[in-house]
Amino acid sequence: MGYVLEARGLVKRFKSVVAVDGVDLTVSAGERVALLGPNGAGKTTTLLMLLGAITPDEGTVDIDGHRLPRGRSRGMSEVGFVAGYLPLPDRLRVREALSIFGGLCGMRRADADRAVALNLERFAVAHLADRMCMDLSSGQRTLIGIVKAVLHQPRLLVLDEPTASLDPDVAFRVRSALLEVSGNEGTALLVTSHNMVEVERLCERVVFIAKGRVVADGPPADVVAQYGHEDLEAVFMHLAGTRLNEADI
Amino acid sequence: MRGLLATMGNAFAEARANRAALGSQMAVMVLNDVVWVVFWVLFFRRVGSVGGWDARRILLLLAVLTTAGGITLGLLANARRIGTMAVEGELDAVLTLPVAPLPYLLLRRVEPTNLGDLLFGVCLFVLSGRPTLGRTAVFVGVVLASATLITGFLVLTGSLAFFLGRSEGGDLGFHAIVLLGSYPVDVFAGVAKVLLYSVVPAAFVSTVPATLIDSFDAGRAAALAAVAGAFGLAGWATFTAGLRRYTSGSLWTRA
Amino acid sequence: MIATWFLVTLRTEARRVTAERGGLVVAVVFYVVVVAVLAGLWRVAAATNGGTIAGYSAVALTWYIATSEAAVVALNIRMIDDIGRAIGSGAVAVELLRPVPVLALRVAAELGRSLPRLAACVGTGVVVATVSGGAPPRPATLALAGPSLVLAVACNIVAQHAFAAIAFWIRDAGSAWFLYQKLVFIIGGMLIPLEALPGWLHALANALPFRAMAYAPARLASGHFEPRLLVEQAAWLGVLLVAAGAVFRAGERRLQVVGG
Repeated sequence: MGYVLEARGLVKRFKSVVAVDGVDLTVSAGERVALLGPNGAGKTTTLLMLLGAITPDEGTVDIDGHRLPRGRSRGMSEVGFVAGYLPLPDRLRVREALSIFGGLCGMRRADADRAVALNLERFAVAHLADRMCMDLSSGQRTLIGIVKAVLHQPRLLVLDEPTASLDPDVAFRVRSALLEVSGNEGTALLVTSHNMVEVERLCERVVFIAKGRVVADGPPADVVAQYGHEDLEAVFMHLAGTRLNEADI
Repeated sequence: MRGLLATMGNAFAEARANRAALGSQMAVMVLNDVVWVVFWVLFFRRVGSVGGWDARRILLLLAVLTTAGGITLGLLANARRIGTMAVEGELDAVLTLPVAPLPYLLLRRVEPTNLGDLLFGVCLFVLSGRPTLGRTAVFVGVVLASATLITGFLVLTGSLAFFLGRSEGGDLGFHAIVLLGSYPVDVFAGVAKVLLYSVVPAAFVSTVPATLIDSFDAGRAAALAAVAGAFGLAGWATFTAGLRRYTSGSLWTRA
Repeated sequence: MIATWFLVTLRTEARRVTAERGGLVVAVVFYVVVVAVLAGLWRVAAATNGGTIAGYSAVALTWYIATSEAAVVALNIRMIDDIGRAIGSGAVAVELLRPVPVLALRVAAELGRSLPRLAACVGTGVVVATVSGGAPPRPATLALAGPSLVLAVACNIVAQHAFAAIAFWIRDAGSAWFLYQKLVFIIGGMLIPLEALPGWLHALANALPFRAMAYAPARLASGHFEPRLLVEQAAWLGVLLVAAGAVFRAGERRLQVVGG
């Protein structure tokens, strides 16, 4: 009980291929969790089911106690989603687009405007407020995407490769800000990343998926120890390698 | 509700952002509709009247159709794209938002071109529809019913794509309802007429509403409201059922 | 002699359209609905006007509409918009790098896409017109309507390229599509036989190329033995090719100056 996200027995098949095969995943309030796995492991499909973008063939997803898909609207009002590929309204200015998104999340205009100003400052992108969205670089789009996702103070922030397109110094700033958001507001983080160094710095728990199943779940140090490797990077390589070897056979 | 208002605000803000294009696109559609007026005037100039329909009545029909069509295709512009979005997997971004997907999708996009239809339809009614207070009230009512019907029908035929895996049904539904709604149903007979009052309810889109403006009848008005409501509900139910079969295309578009 | 690349492009696109059965079925169903509605309207109009309108009987009007609609429905409905987008997005600039004329390649591709749709519409149209209107008024003229339909489609494609080329200069070619389409509808004779237009509009329509795109084949299919219409279409095709070529060349020069 008390989970911000609770997924039980998720199964998704695409014709004869079982992409996700009985995944259980829970995230508690304020917890920082990484969802990891090599390409083709079922990570993206799992993420899409957790976000309600596709319906699982079996299993359930509850967000803050609201079961998808029936409770989608209420559940999603507690989620912020960040990904470099998420679109922004090209023809609007950043401030305007963010304020409208706040309204979409049920915020009053004045509250939304206040939250926009606060978070633009927090992520050090206040200078982009009057820029047209179409004029943003991919790194700037990601930063604005993060501001957009935290605007309504969600209980869960889902981040798909949040720093993939950012310079190292900006990525560092983003990680610090995310830790601040999580620490100050009790926002849980669910992060996918191929950058294991980032995962070790940002997350207190990692969940590894391979061949559609959860194969490891625990604090990074414990998972590293479970596989007898030096670090998460080596565990990742190990899991990807296992997959490759079996495919060769 | 606040979320949906914000959605609509966003759609208008985006449409307004390109003011020059907005004006020219609306003007082109108005011109497009004027050509239809020209066609009908030429037609009736040559043939007098057909099945009780003359130039004045047909312009009233055109006013209803373009106003209702302008509401659906201009203000609820995604109504005709549901099938394509379902097949191409373009709904991902919408489904992660804290709003009901169908109202959000419908309100999400304003199509400036079809706002020209809306403008044209209202002007045509004012200029040729002999507007009195009573006739104007009926015009507003029947136009809203007609727009509900068109929207429901487009959502219904578009949502079939969730089950069929192809979006052609939605395209066909769009062309059929707009095209068949452009003609008075009285020129048809037999099975065709039955179809236009049922499967492709074009009769309720324009002929019945235009007739109600000229001679109001409570029973016929109730039938129009019932059919519009039924198609609206059918569209909603089909979309909701179809969403469970939706497969992501990983296309995080603005819908 | 027609260049091999022209025929290869035409054949490839034709095969692609034929393989996409869903799109073909939608085009044909749409065509049948349009013909049923419009021909029905004209038949009722003829019946209430002593059996003929502007010299066309109810049967002739049915065959007229079935043919004029086939000539137009066979084309990609958004062609001008698509060409405009290709110019605006820079796709045409990339095509300029190929060792063949861009315009000719594009016309070949569009012809390839349109001819299978035309064949499907004509096949269905013959059945629909016969069942709903009656046997063709003069079967012999149908033989002339066949090549006339192909010429009509070719004229339309080339003319649309000339219109769409305004996208080299302005950003939105979509508006050109609406205007062009309506010209074909009325003074091209798609919705209404040109003889039914008022005198001044009829004279204007006769002086413009749009009648080569719908009226000419429809006039032949409705039982009028007028082979000069084929000659007229061929002449308009030549004129339109020259015009579209000139506009495209000017546009290409602009791309090279401004950058694509």
